[in-house]
Amino acid sequence: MNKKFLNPIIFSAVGFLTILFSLESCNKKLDLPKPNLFASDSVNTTIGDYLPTDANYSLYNTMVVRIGLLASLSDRNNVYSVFAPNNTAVKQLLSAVTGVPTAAPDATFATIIKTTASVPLLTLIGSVVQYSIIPGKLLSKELIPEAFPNIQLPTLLAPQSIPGTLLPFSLTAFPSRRGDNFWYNNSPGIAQLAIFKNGVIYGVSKVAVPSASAISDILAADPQFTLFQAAISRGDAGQPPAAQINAALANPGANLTLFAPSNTAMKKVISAFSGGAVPLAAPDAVFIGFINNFLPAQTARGIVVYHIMGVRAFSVNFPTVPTYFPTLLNLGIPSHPGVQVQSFFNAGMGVDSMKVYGVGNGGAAATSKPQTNFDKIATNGVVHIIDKVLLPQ
Amino acid sequence: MYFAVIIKSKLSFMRKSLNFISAFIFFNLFSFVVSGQSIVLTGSVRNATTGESLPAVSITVQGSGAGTFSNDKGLFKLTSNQKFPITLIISSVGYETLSLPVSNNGDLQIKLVSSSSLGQEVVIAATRTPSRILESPVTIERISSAAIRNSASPSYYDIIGNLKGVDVVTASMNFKTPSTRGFNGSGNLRLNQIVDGMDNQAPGLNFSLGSVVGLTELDVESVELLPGASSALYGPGGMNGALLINSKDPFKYQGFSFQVKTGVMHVDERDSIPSPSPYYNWTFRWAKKVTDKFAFKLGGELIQAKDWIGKDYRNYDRLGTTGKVKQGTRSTDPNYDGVNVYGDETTADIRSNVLNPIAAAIPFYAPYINALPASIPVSRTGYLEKDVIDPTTVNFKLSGEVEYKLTNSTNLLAAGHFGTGNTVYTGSDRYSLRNLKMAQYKIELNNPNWFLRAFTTRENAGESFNATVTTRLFNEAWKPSGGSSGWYAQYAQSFLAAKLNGSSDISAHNIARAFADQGRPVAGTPEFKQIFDKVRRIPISQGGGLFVDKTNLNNFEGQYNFSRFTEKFADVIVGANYKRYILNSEGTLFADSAGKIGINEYGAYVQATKKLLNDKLKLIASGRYDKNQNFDGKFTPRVSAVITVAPENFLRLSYQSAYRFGSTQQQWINLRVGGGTRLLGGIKQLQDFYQFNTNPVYTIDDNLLAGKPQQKVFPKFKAETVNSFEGGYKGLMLDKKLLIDVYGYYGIYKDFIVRTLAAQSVNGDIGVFTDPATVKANLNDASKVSSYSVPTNLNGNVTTYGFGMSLDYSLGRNFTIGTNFSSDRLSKIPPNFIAEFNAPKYRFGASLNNTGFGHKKAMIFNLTYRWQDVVEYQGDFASGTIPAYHTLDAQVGYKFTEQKILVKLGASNLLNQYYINGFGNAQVGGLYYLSVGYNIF
Repeated sequence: MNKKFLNPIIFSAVGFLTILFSLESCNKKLDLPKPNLFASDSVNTTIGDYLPTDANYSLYNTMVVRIGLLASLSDRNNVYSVFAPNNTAVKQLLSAVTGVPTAAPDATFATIIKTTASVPLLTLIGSVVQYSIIPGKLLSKELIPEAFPNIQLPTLLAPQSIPGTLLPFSLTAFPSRRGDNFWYNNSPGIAQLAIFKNGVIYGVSKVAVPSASAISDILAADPQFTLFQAAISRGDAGQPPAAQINAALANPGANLTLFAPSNTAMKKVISAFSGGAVPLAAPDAVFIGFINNFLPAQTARGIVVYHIMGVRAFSVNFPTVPTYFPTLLNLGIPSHPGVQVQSFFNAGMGVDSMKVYGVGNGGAAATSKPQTNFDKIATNGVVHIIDKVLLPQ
Repeated sequence: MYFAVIIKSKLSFMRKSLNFISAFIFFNLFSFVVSGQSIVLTGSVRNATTGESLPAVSITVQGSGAGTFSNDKGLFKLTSNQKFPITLIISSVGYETLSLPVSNNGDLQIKLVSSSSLGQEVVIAATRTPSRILESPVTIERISSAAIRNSASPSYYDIIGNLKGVDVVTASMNFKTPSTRGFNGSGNLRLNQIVDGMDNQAPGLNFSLGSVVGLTELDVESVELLPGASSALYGPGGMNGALLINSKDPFKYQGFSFQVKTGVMHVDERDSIPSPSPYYNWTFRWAKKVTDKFAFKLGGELIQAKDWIGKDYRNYDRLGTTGKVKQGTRSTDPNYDGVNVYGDETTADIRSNVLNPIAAAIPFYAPYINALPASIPVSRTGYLEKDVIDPTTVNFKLSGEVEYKLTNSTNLLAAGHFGTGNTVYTGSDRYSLRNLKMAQYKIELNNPNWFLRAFTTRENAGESFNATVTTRLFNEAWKPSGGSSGWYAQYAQSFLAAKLNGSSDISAHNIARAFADQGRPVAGTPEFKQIFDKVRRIPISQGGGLFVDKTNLNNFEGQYNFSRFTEKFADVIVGANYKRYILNSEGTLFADSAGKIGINEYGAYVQATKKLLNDKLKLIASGRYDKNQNFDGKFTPRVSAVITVAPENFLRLSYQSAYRFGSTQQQWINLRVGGGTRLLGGIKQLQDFYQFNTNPVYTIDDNLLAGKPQQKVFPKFKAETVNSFEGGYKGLMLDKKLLIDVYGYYGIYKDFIVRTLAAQSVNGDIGVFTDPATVKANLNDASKVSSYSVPTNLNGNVTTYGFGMSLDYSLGRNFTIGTNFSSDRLSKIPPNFIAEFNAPKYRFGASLNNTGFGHKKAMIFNLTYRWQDVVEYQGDFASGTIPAYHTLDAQVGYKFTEQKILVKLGASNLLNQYYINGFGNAQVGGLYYLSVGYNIF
């Protein structure tokens, strides 16, 4: 072979191959789809991981375990805002139901929770736990609105579904905040315990107990409201069904606050209205007859709607100084100032009493006291029992 | 065994053909004797080294027009009226030209000695007249039939991509679009492809179909590529070059040839289609000189394979026809829109469309719903490209030509090219071109001094459909998006229910999707096929995915070379052409639901060539004027100079301009594409139809997204132009063994045609654009906003520049080595301009080649390497980064000289390194083949 040709050929071939081997590394593959990330990798603990570790909430954890909810609270694909009552609050609830003194050790109550076969008690445990949890949402403390009215959020407690839809009928709760203080309905908050991989836990000092009753049911079940109910009926006279007040109070989708005057209060104002013709000592039936026969329907309607706010306000949502709030009367008379409400807070950020002022009451306040008289929760609102009828003018 | 059967049958066929030919030779001989011709020479031509017979060798009588070519056996027969003695000139590219005195009739045994052909090839494209490539006044690249024969590439179209300065976008295996100097894209409109004088552009679909209905590989004599502006000679469109593919003359290249390539591809893909899958490419050509005056040829090619598919499943943030890749997958982004996933372009805001009505109906959920994001866009579930586009690609080409010599110098020929098959094209969406048919028919009278040519291009889109639109409609056909029980109602209710049960947002989305998708047809099942086939066969105008396109183009042109009259002053050629497009899509592609639309276009050109300074300076000036009925007329000049700086060393300088009218689609398209955007032509009638004048449109840009809509008024649509300055050097050195080619250019584009996105409120309510929180969701909500993509001219200039160089060295012993390096850059672009430049900053190529070594020099091989830099690719379908990539093609072959059989074992992308060269397009892997060819020249 002729070296004159061979040398440049070999040289070139070697050079070419050298270039190839030096350059022919792998082509960069197209990037694969990258999944979105939804939570900080630095937080790995779930609500379900945490709960069993906090001794202050052990009874709540025991209730969660008893109703089989811990697995869901441990699921990283879920997200919850949990308003967990501390052990003291749980003991107060269970004590009222079982009669076991609150001074009994935690273990006693834990045993009750674990072992009870009482269906009503188990139902209560299940409902208060589910009612303490807002599903599908991480409501960190700064996201709890400070403004009134309160935000209405569904809870895990959904006793039925909404016909014709895929949706549950969830009972709702009302977190609220004023500065550093916060409440779950009227349950004072203790602290935001922590934000976890799948949500947030707050400690509260009172168990928020849901109701299965509408406002109308509460009124109907309590004999001290027969006169107010008569006034409602009188106000609804001649009104189409959709415009009737009683229908609104029965509407499960409504969201109202009712200042409900007791029969005693109703009697005082009716007696005065009758010019003493109906004495205070007269039987209830006399008062009802007067309402039905002598009280103009328009007047009755005006008085009744003046007792109803179109939003839900627990005692803890009212300010410490008398402040006006609109009522349903403002739907017809927008310029009406509404009712003044004032709450008297205790050291635990609960409320000891409320005062409500009607424009026509001459400065005399209707009082709601003791605590069992206000914050009566309904599925569609809250009822505060007052000792005076509020007069709009 | 299979090949042996084929070869045997073909050889049998050949024997019959030769008998037939012999009969005609006898007839012709008799007729020549009767006419009294005095010289009758016969003989053979062989390679002096290998002894192989040489076909298509030119044998001419010096000083006369008489001549012939050797046939496929290397045999020739020459008759002439001249008297002995004569001198024969025997020439063939790649061999030293032989001058042979002959005194008597007889049988000549001629042997030609191989020589380097570096720089000696003749090109026509640069000046429309033959000249050596060395002396070309502008940059030009050429691929000869010999290069095709020795190439490792499975298709001659693939070789184009290895030329310096060339980029190719591979939409699919059979749909490759080359371009030069930027503005590349699948089916790009700025590079003319001309096959035997016929513009190969599909008149309705607008893309050039050279790789689908062009010449068969065995019929290609040469491919000439003019990078850069070329309108001065080839008319509108050649902004970024012209590709001229010339077929083999049946008088010169005779005999029967065939080539069978069988290979495998997809050798390691387990996630897409059967792996490995076969590749078939069968080609034949049969040419016969029946008499000295009449010859014909037939050719056919069949390719079948499982196509490369688009499988980029990354999430795409789509906004009209723009967008970018973003993070997210189907399971982590409810509005996921995969690049090569179709049907998921349908998106709706479940917040405003479903959840807000729920909040109104169920007030106690209102605060919860209102606390959700203001907009919750959700996309329908899509299908992968491989599920909706049949990856089986078939391409069948058939071509024929008859040629008759009216005189010694004037030929009349009629030719036809027909192509059909299935392939995939990327435009504003991915299109499955099924049973696409395109044909070109030509009648031509030609003479060395003039030609007259008439051709027509007939296009039929067959059963082609838009994959995106069709899949979206498939989803609608299975389960409508809207309505109280529609997909979105089910999804949103299920989403809310899951949230109310504690699910996180994304978990609720996935639960909702699973619920709404219950019973969704699985790809490939009879149910899927039944619905999909039904939708894809319904024309777009009737709510389906089928686009009907039967657009035709008729072209008449002629050229005359006045040089014999003007040679004292200059060589002058003059030409003119007339085109008529007849748009016919039955309202599926164009705004032609009321009837066909005609577009007339005509032009004329003149070119003068003058040699000065003892032929050391050649000046060429050209000018061309064209007029399209929808555009103002355009004049484009070209001035070039070739300076001989030393023997075989030339400098070239040129100023060229080029332009293009908006394509037929850019004039008259009216098509709603996958993302919901309506592609609209640029003519005013269409804008008036959509009431741009009374219901304003607003530019879709950052201002709009910020809630500050800016009204867009479209000015008169103009032609796009480029002025290009170029300098270059080409020369032979080192005893003519080294060929150097260097060029640099600077181009200035004016009135650049770009598509502008504009949005129009359906109800004339500007409020849908003024809230930043909802404007993007509104843009994707067809009930609120109509979005348009309208071509318009860009204000301001766009400039490009670049350079390229190549070195080719003949090592001797048939070895050549070559390397090239090139760069294209875009500079000075107006703000927010989406250039779709799509050229890498740098690209590099190298090759090592041998056309005969080893025993009897019967072995051949080729190695070709290419690397290109990363590209930020912009396209109407999708935009994103194309990683840098390199490919290595290789082949080794053996020539059975006596049997005239060439066997090659080759591979493109030998190392099976998958790459894309167009974003959202097919990913190309290795293809390995065995090729057996007979009578390949």
